[in-house]
Formats: sequence, C-alpha cells, structure tokens
Amino acid sequence: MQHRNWLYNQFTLHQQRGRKTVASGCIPNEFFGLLCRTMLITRAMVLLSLAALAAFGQTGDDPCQAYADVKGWIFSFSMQANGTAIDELKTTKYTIQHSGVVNAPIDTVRTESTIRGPNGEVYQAVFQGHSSSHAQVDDRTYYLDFPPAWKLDEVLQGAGGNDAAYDVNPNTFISFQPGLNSSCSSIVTFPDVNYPALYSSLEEKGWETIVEPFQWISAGFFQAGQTSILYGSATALLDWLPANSDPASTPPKITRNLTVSQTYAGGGPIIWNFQWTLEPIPGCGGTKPTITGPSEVWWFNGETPPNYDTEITLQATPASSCEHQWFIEEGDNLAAFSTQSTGPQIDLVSLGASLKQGDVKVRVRRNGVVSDPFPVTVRTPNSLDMLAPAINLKSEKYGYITAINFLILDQFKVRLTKDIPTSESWTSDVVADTSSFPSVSSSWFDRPPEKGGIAFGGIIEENVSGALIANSDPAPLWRPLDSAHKDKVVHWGRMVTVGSQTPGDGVPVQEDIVQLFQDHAEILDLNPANPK
Amino acid sequence: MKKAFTCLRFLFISFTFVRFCFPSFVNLLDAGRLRDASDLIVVAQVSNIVDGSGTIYSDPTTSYTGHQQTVSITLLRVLKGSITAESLDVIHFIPDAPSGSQEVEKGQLGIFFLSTLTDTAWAPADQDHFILPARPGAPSNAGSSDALLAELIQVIASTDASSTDRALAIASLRSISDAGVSASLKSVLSSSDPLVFWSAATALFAQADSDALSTVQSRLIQPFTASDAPYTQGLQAALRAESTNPKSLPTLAALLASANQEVRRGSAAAIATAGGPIAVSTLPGLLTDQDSQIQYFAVWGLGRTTNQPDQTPSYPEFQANRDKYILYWQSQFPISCAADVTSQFSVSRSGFRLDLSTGRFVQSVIISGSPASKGPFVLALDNLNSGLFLYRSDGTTSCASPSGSPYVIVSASETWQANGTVVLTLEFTDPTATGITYTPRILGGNANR
Repeated sequence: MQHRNWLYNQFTLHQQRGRKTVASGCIPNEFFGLLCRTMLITRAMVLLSLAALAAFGQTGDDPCQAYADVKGWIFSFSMQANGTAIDELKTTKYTIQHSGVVNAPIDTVRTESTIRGPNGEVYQAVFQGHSSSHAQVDDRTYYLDFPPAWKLDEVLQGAGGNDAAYDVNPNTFISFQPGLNSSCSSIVTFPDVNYPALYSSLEEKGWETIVEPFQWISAGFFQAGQTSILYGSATALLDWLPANSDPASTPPKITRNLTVSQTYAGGGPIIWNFQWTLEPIPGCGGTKPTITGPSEVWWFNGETPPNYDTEITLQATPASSCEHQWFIEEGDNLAAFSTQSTGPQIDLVSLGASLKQGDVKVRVRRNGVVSDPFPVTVRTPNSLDMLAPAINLKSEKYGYITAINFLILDQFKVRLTKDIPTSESWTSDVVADTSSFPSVSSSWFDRPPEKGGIAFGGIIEENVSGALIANSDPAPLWRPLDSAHKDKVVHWGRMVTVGSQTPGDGVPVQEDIVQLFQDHAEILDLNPANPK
Repeated sequence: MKKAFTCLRFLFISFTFVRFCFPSFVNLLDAGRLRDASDLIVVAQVSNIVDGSGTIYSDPTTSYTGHQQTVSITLLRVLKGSITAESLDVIHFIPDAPSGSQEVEKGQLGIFFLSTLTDTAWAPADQDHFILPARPGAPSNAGSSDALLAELIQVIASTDASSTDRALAIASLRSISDAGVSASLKSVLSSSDPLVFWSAATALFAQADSDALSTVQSRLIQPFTASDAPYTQGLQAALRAESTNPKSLPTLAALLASANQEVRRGSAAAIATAGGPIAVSTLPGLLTDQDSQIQYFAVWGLGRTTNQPDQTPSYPEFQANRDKYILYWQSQFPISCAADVTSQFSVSRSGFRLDLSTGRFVQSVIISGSPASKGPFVLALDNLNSGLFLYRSDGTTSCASPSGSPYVIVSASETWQANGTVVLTLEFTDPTATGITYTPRILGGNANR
C-alpha cells in the first residue's frame, strides 16, 4: 500500500506541474522513453502501457536526462575539469578546480551536467543513487553514485543556458569516485529496500521545473543492492546488472524481451514483475578491456636518446572497433598522451620522473566499461655509482692517467644497461690548491673542453690526466693508488648529464669535483652524505 | 659489421681522417668491442715514433690543438686480419690538453687495435684504447681458443707484468663471458697485489660468479686494509650483479654483517633486487640501519617483493619521506629481537695468546649451562675495543641492543644439549696490540640479533 500511495503522490505532482513537451524530455531508450510518454496521459494509462512496453521498442533521440538532489549532502569526487555546482536559484556556489577531491558545500542543492554525444546531440545526466555518503531529503534518504569518467569531448552546454557551467578542456575527464561508467549513462543502486530510487526525465532543463518524474521505481520492484545502468552513449540501452556486481568488471548488455506484469493483492502493494534477457551489445563487445604494453617509459628532460623509449604505445585488448576513451587517472604531470586517439592504441610520452613505482595510472573506457588502471613508471637517470676499481696509469706526457668508471643509476638505484649519450660540463674555473704547492704553473689549468660521449652499456669511462710534464710545476708523477699521496694541485667543478652528448643537455646526475693530485686524480662528490 | 665508436672521424689539415675524440669521457675499455671495431689486431712492438708539428683539429663545435704522431711498429703476431708486411705505421693524434688520451712509447710491446686509414697507413681503431698489454712470447697455455683472449689471459697470469697491465687486461675482459677468462680471473684471487685482486674479484662479481663470492667472503667481511681501500669503492655495483645467481644469495645475506659499508650496500641492493624469501627474511632487519642507502634498499626491496608500488619509492622520494616509509614497512614486518639469555649460562674466558703464524690473538671461551630458552645461541662481544676485530665472526648485532657487536654462533640448534658445554676459540685482529676487552652476551632464539 505504501508503494501505491507513493506512486500516486508523484503522479499528482506531475499533473500539477503540467505536461508540456514531455515527449522531448524522455529518455531515449526502449523502456524509459516509452514510460515517459505513457505517463503524460494518466496514471491508469501508464500502468497499462507498462504492461505493453516490450512490444514497442521505440528509440528516441532526445537528450537523456536525470538529476541528483543533493541538498545538504556532502559528497566528494575528484575531477579533472572545471565544473560548477549550483543552487536552486542558479547561483554558483562553488567551482571545482581541475583535479583533486572536492567536498561540495553542505548547502549545495543540486549538481547538473550536460553532455554532448558523439554527433553533437545533447545528453544530460544527473544521477541519484548510491554513494558512500547520503542525503536526507524530506522523509527519504538518497544515495548517489556518480559515474567516474565522463569524457567531455566538447564544452558542455548548460541546460537552460547557463545552469551548468562546465568549463571543460577537450580531452579531459571528470572522474568521480567510486564507481565506473560511461558517458551519458548512469548507475543507480538500490541500497536499501526501504527507500526508493528515482529515475527522472525532464521536459525542461531549467531547475524550476525539474521535479517532474515520469516514473518512480520503488525498491520493491527490484532486489536490494541491484544496480542498473541506463542508456549508452549512442544507442538507447537498458542494462541491469546482478546485485553487488562491479560495473567495471561486468559488461553492459542489451535488455531483450522485457515483459512487465503486475500483481495486486487487495489491500497490499502493487507488485510489478519485470522479466528480461540480457545479450551482449553487438559490435563493440562487452568485455572489460585490459591494457597491455610497456610498464616503463624513460624521461631525459626533453632528450630522446636511442635505446631508451621516451614514448610508449599502450593497447586495449581484446580488439574492438568501439570508441576508446583513454585517460590518465593519476600522474598526468609525469606523462601525457602524445596523440589523441579513440582507437585501441594510445601513445604515452614522458613529462617527468616517477616518485614511486607505477605512479602513472592509465585507464581506457570502452562501451561503458572501464579497464583496471595500468601502472606505468617513468624512469630517469638520477645518480652515478663508481665501478671498481680505478686504475692509475703511467703517462710519459702527463705523468698519470687515472681511469675511472661509473655506472649510471635511475631514481630507484637500478643501473641503466644500454648505450646512452652523456656529457660533462664545468661548473667552475680551475682552482689551485695552494695547501700543498704555493705556486702552480699554468699548465695545470689546461683542462679538456666540455664534451659528450656514449656510455657503452650504461658505463661511463673517463680518463683524467695530470699536466704536461715538460711545462709543469709541480711536475706530475705517478704512484699506484694504494701508495698515492694526497698532494692536491688543482680542482674544478663538474656536472655530468645523461641523455645527450651536448654538454648541459639531458638530466643532471652528478655534480662533483675533478681533483688533480700530483700523482693521481679523483672524482670527489660534492655531497658527502651520498658518497659514490 | 663493425660497431661504431662514439668519436667521429675528424678532418686533419692534411686531409686524412682519423678517429678522435676528446676525453676525459672515453670509450669503454672492452676487448670485445675493440675486436669488432678493428680491421687488424696485432701483437707488436713500437720501433719508432715521429712527432709531427702542431696542428689544429676541429669538429662542428670545438677546435683542438695537438700533434700528429707516426708510430712505427714491428709485428710479432697477427690476431685478426691479414697483413704480409713485417712492420707498419700508425697515425696517432695526441691532443695538447691533458685529455687522458692513450699514449705509446718507443719499445712498448702491446696488442694494437687498428683500422685502415690509407693504403699504406693505419689508424687506431679507438683513439682511447688502441693498445692493450701483451707479453713477449706467444701464449704457451692458451687458456682460450680465442687468440685475443689468450693473449690477455697470459698477461693476467704473468707475475712479471706490472699490476696496471694486469688490471688493464682484466678490465678489458669484464664483459667477456668465457670459461678461460673466468678461470684466469679466479686464479688471481689469491694475488697479494690489491689492484689485481680487486680487479679480478669485481669482474667476477659482475658476472654473478657465486664461487668467487664465496672464495673472498671472509675478505669482504673483515675491515678493508689501507691498501685495499682505493680499489673497493665500486664494490656495491659489482656485488649487486650477484643478485641474478640464486647460489650467491646466502653469501650475500652473510655479507650484510660486513664491516665495510660498500659491501653491505652492495649485498643489500643485490638481495633487494633478487626479492623472494631471502628479501623478506633479511631486509626488515635493515630498516633501522644507520646507512640511508641500505635503509632505502630495504624499503625498495620489500616494496617490490610484496608488489606494493605505492610503498616503493624512488631514492629522492625516500630521502624526502624517510620516516613514513620506514614506519610503514616496520609495521608490515615487525621485528622481534633475540633475547639476552646470558644469565642462563656461565661463561669463562682464557687469556690471550698470539698466534705467530697468523698474527692474531687467540682466546678460548667455555660456555655451559642448562638454559630454559630455545636456541640457536650466539655469543656477542659487546664493547669490543675500537680498532679490534673478531676474526671470522658470524655477524654483527643490529637489533638486540647494543648494536654493532660482532657475534659467533655457539649452538645452531634450538635445543641445547642438557648440561652441555661448548668451547669456542676466538681470534682477534689487534693491529695496535693494546689489549683486548669485551663484555660477553649470549642471545637466544631465531629472532633478529
């Protein structure tokens, strides 16, 4: 009885607010579109037409619409576009800035969005369903489940002109958490058998007339916890998912053979019976896409050396001709799509270095189903590590040549193993060390030019010489390293960069001091806390 | 196809080309690369050197001054290529700036790596490394079927060769996987020459040779001597390569107790890289290590092993948020320390005697008791005088305070033989001979010590 009275009240409301242009506001799908039209007539006709729904199968072309009533409702979601929540008087209450989790103010009343479909048609989707928080409106508790990822290919048009004020950069996404869904579709969960959920299609887009539900569906029609996904982006779909199913892992299916009947036991509620069969959506497949491809990409501060991919290609599998909507869920400051693609492949280019393993997370949505995040790590050269042992060679010309090897390590202290261009540049003039030798001849100040080279196998080999014996004071000489003296002669500052042979280009990995002693050379780290 | 070296051919004023690049960054010394890059490889002796006049050489960005040298060599053996002449000239460029460029001197014997310059002249195949050491006679016991490798193996084995020549030969073979080379390197692990020893050891480590690691384990655990120190800075990188050999992992775990930071870092990095059970059992104990890099390897290794990327930071991220990561992994792998059960035993110690054959001081320790606690039991030497070292310790305490005490295993089993007595013989290295003092402590159980 409760359900029947409640339905009646809603229809009364509907009648009070008029019936203008209802048809244009109906959901373009087999079920609700017809429901919507049917309800314009009378309650009795609605009930009758429900029983005949399966026979029609008409598809509308109007925007799909719904709304969320979030009065007094604190919700949070993360979004990667600018959006606006508005109150009943169309006053902007707050603006959601770019990414991050945003808590809507407690006095937020409604949110609205309008989404254009692939052919420019306007879809509007606002949702009422389950979320981790809930709102108490009148005598009912509402739950909300936002779809997590709407691709916003175009600037959204606000209903009624400026109600929705999304300022959306193409190729960005609004991400709502939790839950997963596709554009112009919604997830509605019936969390509690005691509270009904609402589907609404609006004939007008202005807020003042929004509460014109064509149909209330009480939880009594469905099992508690049951979830439905309404209408896809291109075709009108009505999909029902099993209770407690994960929309991300359960592919949407077309509802077929829907039949509706009712049971009314005198004095009790009207019991609506829905029966249907589900079939995969043709053409696009309905399985959850999986991303495959390299899990690592390199960053060299804009350089693109061979052997190290600074751009990788990710692939959505299994193959599908559906439109793919790729998005970077986390780490868009570390990587970006180098090209926009709605195909099953996307190219990802590095922008910066990862701080943690897999801190770039990529997803793809296809046919309303979103993949698991695909983690990518952006590796970059970060430091050098000496490879033992140094060898001090005799030199007839320069006294000595000290041969020193370094491994190049990434930010996780894992070595680079393939050939890579490197370079050194000087960060100071040559400075005499007068503690051992009060006067140093100019020949000791004759250092090699800044230069680059290839670190074969990721190993830098450098030979550091003394000064020309013939012209030098003090004269360079040679001793084995284990009996070498520590008589400093000159030193200078140096920066080693990796990724280019052009001095200074690429990623700096070590700032150090080239120290020439009278009988050998050493590379001294500027940072004693991080000895090489 | 020959592998190209990094350095371009530069146009001499005389319109001849040679390969030239300015160090100090030079091409990697690698016998395999040199062989691939060379048209002709010969063992030869320098018969004459003629210095040309000063000249300027240019590449697109820089000009250099230097001298052209004509190096005449008398051929002894041909290792690659074909030549009928008994001698030839090599055009060699020597920059004026101290560049680290390789030089030759009259009478020098070596393996020359050459490429064709003109119909009558040759140029170094690699300006940075156009000659490697050789011995006068042909290798009598080749050690390898490869002629070039056999020549270099002969140098390594020759005690008459200088230590730098032997080290250069070893360095040139670091990336060569060859049984003869491996045997040659192992044969010099008994060398008293620190340069030769450490060159061979690190080359073997880099090839993940577990036998070599076991052979030198004791030397890696004991504090390095002053003569070792200049040659051990890069051990960390070499040891890490041992991670690919499962046979090396127990030795690496034991090396975590080394007195040498480089060894401990390398062992920690290797175990973190290897992952698996040994990482889970050893790395939590390193979270409280005093060395930041060792702490990082513990965090990184545990993150990788347990597949928790959010808790697997880069080193810069770890340095910025060290406490956060350490606390997290400590919560995931709570560490219990071995209990101090000294009171359950009696410990009596003899005096010290000097073993003249080893130069170490020897002491007997008798441990007896009927402990209620479970073993295994170890004897830790707390407050051992600084500068003294327990020879062949089984580890160092890092969990059961005080940390840093060397310990030896008393009983490896959980069960102590009823009323059993164990006699230990301890040896101490005491370079200062100033007297040996310590406080005995017995730790029981399998927990971290």
